[in-house]
Amino acid sequence: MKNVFFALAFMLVGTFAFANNVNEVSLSNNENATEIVNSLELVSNYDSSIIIDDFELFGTCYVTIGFYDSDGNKVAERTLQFNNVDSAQECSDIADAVGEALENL
Amino acid sequence: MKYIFFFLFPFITFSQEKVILISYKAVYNTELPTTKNGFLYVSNNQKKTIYFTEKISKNKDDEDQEVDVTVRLNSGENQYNYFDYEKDTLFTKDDIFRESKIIKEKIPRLKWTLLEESKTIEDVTLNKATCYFRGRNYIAWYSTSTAIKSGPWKFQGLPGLIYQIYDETKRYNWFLQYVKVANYDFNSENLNFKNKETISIKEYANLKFNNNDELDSKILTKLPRGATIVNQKTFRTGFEIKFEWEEDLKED
Repeated sequence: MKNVFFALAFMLVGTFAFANNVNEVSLSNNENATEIVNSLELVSNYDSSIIIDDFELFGTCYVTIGFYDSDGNKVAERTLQFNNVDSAQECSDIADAVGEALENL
Repeated sequence: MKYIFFFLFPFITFSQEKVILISYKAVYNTELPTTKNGFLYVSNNQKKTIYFTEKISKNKDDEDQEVDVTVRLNSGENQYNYFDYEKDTLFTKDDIFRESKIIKEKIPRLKWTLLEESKTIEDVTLNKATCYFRGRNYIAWYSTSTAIKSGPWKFQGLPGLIYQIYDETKRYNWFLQYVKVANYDFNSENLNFKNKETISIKEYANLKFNNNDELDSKILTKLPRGATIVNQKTFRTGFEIKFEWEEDLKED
């Protein structure tokens, strides 16, 4: 008899847990889906260069380097990425340091 | 010691021969606009010529506003084009990134089209000619009154001295400055290429336009740890942008 009560109690708890899970999943999916869609639309409306320069938003600094031959022809271009950059000034300082480092490439 | 100099003086003097010196101003409307002086030395029998260039001045403010950092790549060595018509050989000293290389090739046969059009500059009648060479269309104004078939850079083969030459987009322009008699030693050791490393024009094109990995590895060695290259572009630019073997491929 004791076992029967345990079995019934276990089934009752299991039923509640299952119902709760279903509710949570449903609610979560709707909200997240809306947020993700909004986020994608926002990003796609941005010009890519704006995203690249927006280091404050992402903490990333991008430095574009142009390489020129002795006749002034642009022969190559490279974009470098630096992470964990805190400010525009730091990004500017990095660009200056890159210029100095590549002087004797 | 000074006696040695006096002893050698006649040899030093006589090793140089009287040649014709033709000076050009080269104006390049490139991404970093550049002006150079060009000096073309022509031997008396016109069997040897050499064309040197030197930059007129270095402008510290010559920066491309489209990028954050402007890097000039050059070896710092003089560049030249040395024609040896007897050996049908052209030696070009040019920079590939920061390295100076000597390129050896047969003298290119430029197919000039001589046109009826003419104009007069300072009482000199100039005739027009056009030519396609390695990816660019050039327009030349020359004078038959001076029977010199050589010109700046790799231009040669016209029936007279080139006064002006430019490509159809006017990105590259050369203008005659003056002609005079000068001394030059075509037997100089500098022009003896027997023991010098040379590369072919194909190797030159390959090194210049297909060398991304080497440039990237050099860049990364100079940068702090954590820097990554996220975008790379290489531009086929300069005087020569399409070569004979590439033209052949296109025709096939």
